Amino acid sequence: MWAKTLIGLFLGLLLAMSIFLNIGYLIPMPRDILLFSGYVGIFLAWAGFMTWFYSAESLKKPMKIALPLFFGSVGINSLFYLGVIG
Amino acid sequence: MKAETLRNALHAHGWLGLLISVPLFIIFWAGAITLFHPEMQRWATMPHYPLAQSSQLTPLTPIVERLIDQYNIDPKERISVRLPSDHMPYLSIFFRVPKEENSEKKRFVSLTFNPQTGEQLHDHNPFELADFIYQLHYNLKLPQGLYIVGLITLFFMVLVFTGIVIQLKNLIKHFFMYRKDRNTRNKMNDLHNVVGVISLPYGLMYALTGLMFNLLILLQVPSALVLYQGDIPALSKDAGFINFNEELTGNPLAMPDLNALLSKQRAATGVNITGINLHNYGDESAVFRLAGKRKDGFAGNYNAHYAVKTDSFPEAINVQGDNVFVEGSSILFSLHFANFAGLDLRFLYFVLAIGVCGMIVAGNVLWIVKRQKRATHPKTLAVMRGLTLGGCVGIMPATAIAILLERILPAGVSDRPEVVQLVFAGILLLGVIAGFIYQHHRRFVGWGLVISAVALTVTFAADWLMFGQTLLNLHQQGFASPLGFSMALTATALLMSGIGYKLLVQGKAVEKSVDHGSKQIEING
Repeated sequence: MWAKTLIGLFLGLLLAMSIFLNIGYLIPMPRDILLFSGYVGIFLAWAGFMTWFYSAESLKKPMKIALPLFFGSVGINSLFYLGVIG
Repeated sequence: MKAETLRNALHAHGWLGLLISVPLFIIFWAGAITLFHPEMQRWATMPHYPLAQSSQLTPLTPIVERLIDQYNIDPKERISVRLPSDHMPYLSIFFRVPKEENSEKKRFVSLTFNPQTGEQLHDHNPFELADFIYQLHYNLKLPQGLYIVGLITLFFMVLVFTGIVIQLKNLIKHFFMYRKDRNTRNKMNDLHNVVGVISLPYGLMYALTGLMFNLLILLQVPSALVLYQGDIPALSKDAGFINFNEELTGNPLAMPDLNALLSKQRAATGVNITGINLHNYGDESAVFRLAGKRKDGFAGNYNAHYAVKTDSFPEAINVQGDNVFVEGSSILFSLHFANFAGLDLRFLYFVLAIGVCGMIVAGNVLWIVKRQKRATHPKTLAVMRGLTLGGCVGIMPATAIAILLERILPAGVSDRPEVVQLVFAGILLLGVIAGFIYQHHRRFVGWGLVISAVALTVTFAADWLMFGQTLLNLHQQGFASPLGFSMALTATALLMSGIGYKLLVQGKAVEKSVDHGSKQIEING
């Protein structure tokens, strides 16, 4: 329970932020729309990821999907941030 | 949905719910009362400082300039002027004054005036119960409470989501199921589910908006660093916030008449302007921020920065065109505060919030009844019962007695707000201790309700004995809130005493049947 809580809190937030940053980089939209949809979406996704972690029998199962997703998402953001793409 | 997923979601739902139940109960309870913050504030204040209904507004500029001289206000400091409104019928002005000797912080001064005559009513608001309850709602009056409440709100959202996972299959089928003739566990289970399902959109809206209020900083910092490469003013501008931070030029400039400026702007925009913030007053760089509520639309907040020197609203310090972030946030925040709504809709919000409080208590009772049957770890069970049930029930008499004190304590008592808050905290603590000792949860809730009802009835009596004629005069003048709030307290007292009495009677019957059952077992044994 504690492990699910801690990992859900931190990984859930980072994953949600990274995915919405991907959306911001990949889909061109005005900044005010991005900020609003991002702020609403990140909080919903954060709680959603935590629920996913809590509902799993062990952390292993969701981590198998969440970790590659997180690193993939961070990788895309890094490429945009460093100007390699975009 | 797999049985395993349901079991895990239920396990998390139970434990998370139990752990955050007391702060969540306090947040919803205080939030429910805060929906009537203007009415409560008027009820507390207006009998002491009665007003006549009038649209006349005393000249503001002489008052502001007198205060600048009297308090030696630094021109760099913002002076906030709040005009009489539906929320509060007085004129209030607040600002910070330079540090005094032996003081590390600048002193904050808040003054209240009669808006018609300009007479100063008090320099330290003695009626702070409504504000105290509001603060309980958003920061629990704890250090770093804003973030603690944010975290609790996040877990509340997880509770809503896990609740959906658990109930998804039965959402429609068992929507109206309430088995009133079954045992406590079934009844509490049905109550928890029915209220949870009915209040789902409401709960979700509160969870989301609460998170946006309290934890937005978590997203602002990374957004500023990654999306804006540290350019915080650019982020603020895209988000529609203007932070006025202009340096003083040192060149004095004659300031315009504030009443004339207000009238002109009200006529030009049709906005009901309720506040002006004065920045760099008396300097060439002076800017006034006018704030109010647009009369059109659902959540039309109005904000405009007026540059005194150019007698204009320059583009550089005003948000141009529609901004989705400003509009969207303003809609969500209006939904949270229900400030778009009349008394009827706010009452509906209130009922839903109290329903959520009931759902939290039902959830706790479910947890306790389940563990009581197993009869393992009685000490842990008593601690959990004291902390959860005791805390949730204790806040009801704590609030009722604080309301009573807000009425009967004379306005001149030194540290009056602190006395009220201390009594509130003391009774809450007593509730926790009583919950720890008292084993019969039904009677315990019943006593909490009855004590609260008694306190509210005494408050109603005090209202009439101390201010009966004033309340009637205010009502005749068109100020309905003080009398209305007093009547609402009576209605609440009646409701609480009815439910409390029923719970006490039921509790006694249950105890008797339990005693009878154990005697039978002894005889048979």
